[in-house]
Amino acid sequence: MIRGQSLPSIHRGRGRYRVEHISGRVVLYLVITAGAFIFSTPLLWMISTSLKSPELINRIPIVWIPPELRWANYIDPWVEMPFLLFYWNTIFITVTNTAIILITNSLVAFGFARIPFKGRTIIFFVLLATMMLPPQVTMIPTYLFWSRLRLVNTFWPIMAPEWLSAAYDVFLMRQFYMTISTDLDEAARIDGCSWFGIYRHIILPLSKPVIGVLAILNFSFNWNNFITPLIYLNDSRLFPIALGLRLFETQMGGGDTYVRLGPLMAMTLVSIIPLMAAFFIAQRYFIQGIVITGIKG
Amino acid sequence: MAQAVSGNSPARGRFALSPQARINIAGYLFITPWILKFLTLNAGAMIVSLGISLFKTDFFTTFDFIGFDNYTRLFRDPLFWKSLTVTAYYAFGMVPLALVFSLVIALFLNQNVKFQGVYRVVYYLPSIVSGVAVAILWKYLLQPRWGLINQGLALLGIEGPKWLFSTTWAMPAFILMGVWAAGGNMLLYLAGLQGIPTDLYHAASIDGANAWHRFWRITLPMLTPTIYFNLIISIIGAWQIFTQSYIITAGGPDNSTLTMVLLLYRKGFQQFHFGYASAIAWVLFTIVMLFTVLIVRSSEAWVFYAGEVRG
Amino acid sequence: MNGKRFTRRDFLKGATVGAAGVAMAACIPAETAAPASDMPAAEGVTLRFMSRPHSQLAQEVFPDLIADNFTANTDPPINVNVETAASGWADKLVTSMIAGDAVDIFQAWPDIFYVWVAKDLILDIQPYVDRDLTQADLDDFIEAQWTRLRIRGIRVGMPKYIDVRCMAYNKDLFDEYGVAYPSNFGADWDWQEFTAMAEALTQDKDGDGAIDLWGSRIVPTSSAEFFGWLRAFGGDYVNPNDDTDCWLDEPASQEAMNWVFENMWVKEPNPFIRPEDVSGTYDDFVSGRVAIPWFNVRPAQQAEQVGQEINWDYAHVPSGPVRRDALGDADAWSIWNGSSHPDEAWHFINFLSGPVFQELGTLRSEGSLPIRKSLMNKAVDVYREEFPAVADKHLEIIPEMMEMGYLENVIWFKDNAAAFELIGPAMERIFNLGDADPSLMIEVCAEVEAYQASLE
Repeated sequence: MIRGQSLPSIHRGRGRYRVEHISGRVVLYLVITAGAFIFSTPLLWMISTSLKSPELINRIPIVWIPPELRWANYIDPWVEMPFLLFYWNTIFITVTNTAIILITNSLVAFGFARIPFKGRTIIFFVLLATMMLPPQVTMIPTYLFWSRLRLVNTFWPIMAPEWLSAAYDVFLMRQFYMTISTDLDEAARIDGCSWFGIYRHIILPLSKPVIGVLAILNFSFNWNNFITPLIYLNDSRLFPIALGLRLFETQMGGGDTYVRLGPLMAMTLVSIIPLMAAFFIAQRYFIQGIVITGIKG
Repeated sequence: MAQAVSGNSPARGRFALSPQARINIAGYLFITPWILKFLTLNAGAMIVSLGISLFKTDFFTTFDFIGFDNYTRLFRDPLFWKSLTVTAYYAFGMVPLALVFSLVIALFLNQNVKFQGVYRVVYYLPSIVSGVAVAILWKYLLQPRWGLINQGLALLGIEGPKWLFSTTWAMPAFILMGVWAAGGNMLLYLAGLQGIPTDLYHAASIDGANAWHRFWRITLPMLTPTIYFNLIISIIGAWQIFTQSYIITAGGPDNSTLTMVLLLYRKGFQQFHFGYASAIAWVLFTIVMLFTVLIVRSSEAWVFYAGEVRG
Repeated sequence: MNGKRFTRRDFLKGATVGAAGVAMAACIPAETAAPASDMPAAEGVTLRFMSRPHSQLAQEVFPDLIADNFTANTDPPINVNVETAASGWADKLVTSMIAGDAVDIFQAWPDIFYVWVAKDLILDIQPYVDRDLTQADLDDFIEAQWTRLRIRGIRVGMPKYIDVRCMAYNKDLFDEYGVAYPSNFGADWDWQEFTAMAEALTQDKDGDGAIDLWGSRIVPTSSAEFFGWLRAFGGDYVNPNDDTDCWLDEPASQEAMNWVFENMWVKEPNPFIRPEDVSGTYDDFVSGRVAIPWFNVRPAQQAEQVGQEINWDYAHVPSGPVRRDALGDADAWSIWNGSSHPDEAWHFINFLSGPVFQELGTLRSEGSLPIRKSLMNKAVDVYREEFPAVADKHLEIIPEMMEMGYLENVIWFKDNAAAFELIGPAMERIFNLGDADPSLMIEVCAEVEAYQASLE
């Protein structure tokens, strides 16, 4: 069977679809282009803001292209703050976490999706339940845990919990695994293949799309995560980029927040370039990947 | 698990486990990372917060056991009821909208269009831009008189609402923000669409099914596992909405964006009524749990798995 | 622009040691007079200091400033780890205080102190003050601020900087519509004159039938700003002698609220901009949408955000029917009650509030207003020198404000958070939505009082 080829390529050659096809595609392009325009307006606003001097930023009516492009917003922060260090920390945390997460989560998800062990349903429900309590109430007990282990101000509280799987990812992968037919693993079981063998040789090769998606989602999540670093890191030399960006905000007296918007937007944009690149690469990869494995299946 | 082991005769040595016992051992081995995480990080924190909801405590000067008083006080607190309606409004507005909207985008972006990758990046992008930049951006977009949204509406001859300066429109504005950032859901649908075997479409084409029929008979049923996931996750996420109201409106105007988590945050971290805050969290937990149970129970009727293992 | 920053940084990092040494010897008796009974003898201690600097420059130079001017003068050495806090720091601080591993020194302000003192989280530094500070030291602090840092019976910390409120006015608009400037930079004007000017400066500039210039902007939903107007009319949020008695139902408070309400929601056109038309304090000012906004005197920010875009100046707040009143904000450096080095921490915050750090750190690095009267004139000079964009402004308003003595602080309810859970939304209804008038506050006040009185 062939998985994942996109629809138009299937009926492209068939005459009776042609008219429907052409007018359909015009509508399609119109809709997605209009949508893309709306969706990218905020991005354009960020780009414009990142090149403005402070007094132009909120100018009404909006000045889309400032008369003088202020590249200093992109340059000065590198001198003022250890952004290279922030990036190094971020890359270390993000890459390590994402790599380990994908392995542990796919194992755990395989357990829930494919192995009919006793108590599976109820345990899976407990897993879902761990997501239902807002993190604001579990934060203090969790901090106490790390504090007693004397691991505050290290990367451990930011990394170790991720390595031990995440309910969201496990749930997603389980859903995906359950769409893969069981015929193959039954055959493999009869052939004496172990559970790990089934995971390794049957399920894993077929799950590239979901792994691709989870790679993107986890990469973005870890890259943007600032709340755990904020709580657990004291030393700014350990800060990841998402936390470094918060340093552009100053709370003056009475909670009055002053934000240096130009450099903040510039550095925010710079910080999402790797995410965009990762996404761009991964989305191509997982789509091609599936066509190939699909033929094999 | 213990029961499962008992079936076979012990005479056959320690490797002579029943098939079910072997399955149980394998299953638990596979989920060991999660069990470790649950035991070290989740279970303790959950039990502690549940316990604390029975205390009147600030964690510093008082620690009085008061039974269910926090809960009974909660049900008499008009602010709590306000936050409950606000949050429910958001959840019931946001979940179906985001679910449908991201599915539609995914279907479009799954077509064979030029610059497919670029379009996908554009639609996904809003979900990865986070933090204060987004808050400021939306304040600016939603500004009633000068903001881009109302200026755009004015071009169409529509007088835009006052958004964050209206008790009626503040929450819809948040829903708008939520939908804008639904790129993550879109991604999941895209991946789900890749998983649909193409030969199903071939067969349907030969049978003369048009695009609409193909969608209802093939695409949608095959996507139900993804829809099921998005539904549960969106419900959990929507009921915990916090950041927007915390950063952008501080719960105003006139408490029209006072969500449950914002209320519990205020009660806890700002007013040091941690017992009360925990009680709010557990009511929230119960609500989300109820919805999840309903969905899980109903899923047998509408979620289609090609590879479900029973047992 | 860039070059300037480097010279400032270099100056602050390097050249300070000499100057500071001299200033130290002259002005900090506490440093040497410290008897410190239980001071550890040998290798010294390391303090953890949660810093929330107001400028990028301060973030960079604070560690060196502290090492050169504080640690170098201590024996045994008191080292200071500067931990720069990002927004969200308060939640982190609460969490780590519960866990018992919080920083020794942090910065906060009275809303926070009010709650934290009740939870016994802040060390009372009064005994240290009595022991180490001379009368001359005490006289050098700004009185409103110094008084305000005594909260619920303890002294919560040493003042960090002072944030003072004033007005600003756009001279171009005054000229354009033939309105005379506030005389003497507002030192003489009252609320009626101010209202008349605001009316004259409320205009439809482009003639499209919609108002696009408003006279002023008042923010009644911000207690830090609005209490000043309430007091100018003789009212207040809370009875100064009874923290359970809500005063928003008093005739004087009602008069103040009605005055704002009328100018915002009743008069046609409305001389005070409505919140829904606001784009931002600085932006509305620079773009010529608000002629006389409320301001903080923050020359560093204003040099950046307003600069020379328009012809403008600072003005004192107008006096009300009863008096003149504006906020002098009281941020302070405090010591966590759980700190294991309270003596050293005291020496350190005393240094932070001392003349050396106030000049090099607060004034020159952060660009904030120091807390010492003796530095006010110097502050004016430094601002002129560091921020040419505001050099021609009436920066003398700073020492004038101190002299005129109208800077005050908000007074809080017994359980302020609970009170404002009721007051806040009602204020939003009246002033942000315009769907209720100030008499709404009479019933809200009754609710507030009922709750406050129920507290033990």
